[in-house]
Amino acid sequence: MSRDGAKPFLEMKNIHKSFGKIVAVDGVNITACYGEVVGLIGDNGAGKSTLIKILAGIEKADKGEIYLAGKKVKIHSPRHAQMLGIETLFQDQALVNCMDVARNVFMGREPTGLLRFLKLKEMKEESAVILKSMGLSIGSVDMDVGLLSGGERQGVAIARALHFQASLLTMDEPTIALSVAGVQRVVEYVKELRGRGITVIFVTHNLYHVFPVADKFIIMKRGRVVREIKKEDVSLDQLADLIVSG
Amino acid sequence: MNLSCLRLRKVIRYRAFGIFAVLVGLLLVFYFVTPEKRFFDPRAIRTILTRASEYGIIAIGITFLMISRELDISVGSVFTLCSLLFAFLYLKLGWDPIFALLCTLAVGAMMGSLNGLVSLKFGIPSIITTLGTMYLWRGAALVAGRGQPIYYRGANPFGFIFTARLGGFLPMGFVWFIVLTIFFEIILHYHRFGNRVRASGGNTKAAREMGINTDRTKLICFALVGLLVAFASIIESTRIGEGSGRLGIGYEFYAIAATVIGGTSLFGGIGTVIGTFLGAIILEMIRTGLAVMGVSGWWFNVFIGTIIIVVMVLNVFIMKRVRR
Repeated sequence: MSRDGAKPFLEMKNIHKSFGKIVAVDGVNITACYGEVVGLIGDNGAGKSTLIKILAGIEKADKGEIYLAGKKVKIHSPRHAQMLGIETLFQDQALVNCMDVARNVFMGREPTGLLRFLKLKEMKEESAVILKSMGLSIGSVDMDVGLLSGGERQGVAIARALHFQASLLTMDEPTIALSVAGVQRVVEYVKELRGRGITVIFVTHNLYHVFPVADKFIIMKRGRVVREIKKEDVSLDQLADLIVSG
Repeated sequence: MNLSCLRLRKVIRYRAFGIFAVLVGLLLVFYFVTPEKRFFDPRAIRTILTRASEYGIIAIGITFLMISRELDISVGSVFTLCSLLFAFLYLKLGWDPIFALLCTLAVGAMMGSLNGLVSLKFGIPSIITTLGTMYLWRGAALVAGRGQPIYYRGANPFGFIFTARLGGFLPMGFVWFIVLTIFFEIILHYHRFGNRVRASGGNTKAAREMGINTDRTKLICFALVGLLVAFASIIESTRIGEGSGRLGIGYEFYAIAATVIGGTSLFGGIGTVIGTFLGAIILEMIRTGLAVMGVSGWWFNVFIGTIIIVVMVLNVFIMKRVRR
């Protein structure tokens, strides 16, 4: 797959999604180029998380088309999304607290040998390598994820996305409830992802977290895209005004 | 946090360690308090092992189910129905015992699956679904059997495999309990299915987001419970020589108690089969110990209820300490 920054990698065209009478997404169009970090911002109830769930295969759009690298796709399930190279960082990181780091990194995609017995040694070694490459020093991949700090948990979740060679990473409120240090770490991770040519959709309603790292911003309100603007064309204050004024 | 400290904590956190300590403690208590050390009479020990295995095998399935964050309280009724079914197929219809066994296991698995399908498809808490099926299956057993047991009258369909005593002492039912414990403990910790059971119960939402079909995983656990119940019912009914509506009464209580005492969390994600194995033995040790001491059997339920609460509080306390 070529990593041409100018070409769109992700295109979502005319996406509609309703839950009963509630219209969550109303004719949304989004493009994201290779290696681009898109800040998808807006207030609560804007439809951002629903869009992410559609990309993650958890929800299905009522109408609209999705293209990855120019090819039209229909995302049936979370497993299908993963197979297409879409990894999602959910708000709660999608980690199981009572399981260790290695098992969490490989959750749902466990390497197995004869009769589907786990290749535990391989899981532990690979987890340790990937965490080390991200500069995360957890101590042991045998440690239960529930014992980690918020930033470390986020690191494990990102490590999972990196290991499975995502082409597109969607992050739904990745900095929520993190300490200042944790937020900084997430921002550094996103920069690293961009450096690797991975397209990132960064969903948040906290402008201070996304502004330093995004290449462009897409503002949503009540299920619609109200504005798309490049970072060099806007300041942080102007961005906040745009969100409020709609 | 250095690694040796982490490892020690891991051992302590391995819940079976705590349960084993309780078992050893109980042995010491009964050694000193039972008159003439009657607790250690071979017949008393054999009774403990036999009884523990009868609902302990069921408790293995309950362990998987509870780890996946579900529950089945109909197991006692399924046990009753399966004991009657096997006796009917083998003795009344004259079926080959292997065929009758396979059919009974299949029916048990189907009954478990029905619990799972109703709970998962309609979003009904499994405790409520199985409360209904508990009465359904027990009623069906009474209707089908007309309240009458089916006696084996000396027939022994499987010979030594279920009814013999190894070395003249160890009941085969307990041997099966050991074998199944080891097998399912390995599955739980080293097999992909066991991993997904823990994920499905530890954080169902996260497991789904990671592509795990949690409904299918839980459904298999429900079916497994039914299968193990059927198997246990055949062992017990062939051992005592009858298929009967009086078998299995209260087994849901003992199986769940053994699972909880063994350290499995009602909130999902945490548990070991070895812990359940020890939990079943502890339960029977208490029952037998009280009987040998001449204490009224009614006190057994009082003790069990108290122990369940104490064990659960202790587990929470230990886990909080480890996390600091």
